Amino acid sequence: MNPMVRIGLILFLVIFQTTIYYAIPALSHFVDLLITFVIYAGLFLPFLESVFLILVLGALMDSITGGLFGLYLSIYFWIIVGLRPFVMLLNLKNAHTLRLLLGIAIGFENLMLYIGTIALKQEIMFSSESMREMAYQLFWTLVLGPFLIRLLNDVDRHLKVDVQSK
Amino acid sequence: MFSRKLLLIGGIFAFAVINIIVLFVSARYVSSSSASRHMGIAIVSPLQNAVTASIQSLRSMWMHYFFLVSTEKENDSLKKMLAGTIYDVNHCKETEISNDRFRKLLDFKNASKLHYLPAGVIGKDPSHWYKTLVINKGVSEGITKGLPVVVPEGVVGQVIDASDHYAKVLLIIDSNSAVDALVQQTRANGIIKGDSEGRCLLNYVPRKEVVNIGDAVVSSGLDGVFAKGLLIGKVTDIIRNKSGIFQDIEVSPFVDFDKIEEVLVVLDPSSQISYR
Repeated sequence: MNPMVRIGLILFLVIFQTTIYYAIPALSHFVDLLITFVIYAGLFLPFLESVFLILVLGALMDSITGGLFGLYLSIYFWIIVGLRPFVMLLNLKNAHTLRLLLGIAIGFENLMLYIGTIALKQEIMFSSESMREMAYQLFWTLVLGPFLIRLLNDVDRHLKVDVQSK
Repeated sequence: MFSRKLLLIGGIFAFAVINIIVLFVSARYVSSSSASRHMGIAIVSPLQNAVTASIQSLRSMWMHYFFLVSTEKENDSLKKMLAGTIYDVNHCKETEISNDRFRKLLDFKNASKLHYLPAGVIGKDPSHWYKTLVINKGVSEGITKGLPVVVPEGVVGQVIDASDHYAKVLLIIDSNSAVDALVQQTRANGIIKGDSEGRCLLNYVPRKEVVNIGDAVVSSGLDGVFAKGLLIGKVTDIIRNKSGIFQDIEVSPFVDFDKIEEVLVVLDPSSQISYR
C-alpha cells in the first residue's frame, strides 16, 4: 500500500471513530479501530514505516482529544515498540494471538489515558462508566479485531501484487 | 562493562520515564491551544464536518419522508403541549413586564441581551476518559477560549480551544469542568463538577442548606462565564455524611450529551452581569 493511501486510511479511521461512532449511537462502544490499526502496523509493516504512521495518527488524535498533548503519541509509540520483540516469536496467523495483543494494547491505552486524567486533574478519580465503556469496546475489539487486521493485511498484499504486476 | 542488551533495556526505561515526566509537565504548563493542535484540527475537522453534514442529510431525509408512521400521534400530543405552553408563555410575558417595572423602580440596570452563535457538533472525543466535543465554528466566527456553550435545555460546557473554523468544547460532565451553581428553589450555592459518569456533583454545599431530590440546579453567574439562571440539571441523590461540613449532591444534567447535534455559543459573556 502506498504511504499516502495509508495516511488516507488513518484519516478515514479517525473520522469513523470520532464522527460516525458519535452520529450512530449503536456504534458508540464498538471496535477500537485505531488500536486495531496500530497492532496491524506494528506486526505487519516495516518498523520505521509503522513508527511514522503511528506518529501521524497520534498527532491527529492528540489534536482532537481533550486530554494532554502527546498522550496518544506516547501510547501508540510504546505499543509499537512493545510489539517489536514479539513479531518474530509469535504466530501472527493465529486469531487468539492477535486477540491477546489487542487486549493488552487496549488495557495499556486506557491505563495511560487514566494516568493522563490524573495528571490534568491532580487527583485520583475512578469512573465506573468509563470502565463499562472500555469493557464493551474491548469485547468488540477482541471479537472483530483479528478479522480487521487480516483484512488490512490482505488488502495490503493484493495492492502490492497489483503494483508489482504492472 | 554493560552488555548491549542491558544498555538497550536501560535506554528504553530511561526514555519511558522521560516521556511520563514530559506528559506531567505539559499537563501543568503547556497551553491546550498550541499551533500543533490547531494543525491537526485543521486537517481532521473539515472531513468531520463533511461526514456529519452527510449523515444529517440522510437522517433528515429518513425522518421527513420515510419515517412518518408516528407523526400523527406525535402531532396530536404536540398540539396538547402547545396549548399548555401558550398559557405558560403568556404568564411569563406578564412576569417579565412586572419584572421590568420593578427593576425600573429599584433602579437596576437592564439585563443585557446575549448574543448566541449556533454551531454544529461534528465530532466527539474518542476516549471514554475525556468528555469533549468539536464544533464547526472557530476564531473566524468570533469564538475564543473560555466562552460558554449552551442549548435550550441547559448548559453544555465551555470552549477550551479554538482554531480558525473549529473549536473544542469541554462538557460539564468532564471531571475537569467546574461551574458555579445554585439550587433554584432554596438558593443553596455550590460548584458543579463532572464525575466522569455522565452526571455531575454539586460540591461545597453546607450541610445546613436544605436541598431536596428533584430540585433544579441553575448557574449562579458568579464564575463570570455562565449567565445566571441557566438550567444545569436536577438533584437525583443527596448524601449527608455524619461528619464533614458539606453534603454530597448528585445532579443529573438536563442535556443529553450523547444526542447533541447543535449548540449555541454565547459570544459576549462579560456583558451578562445584570446587576448594578
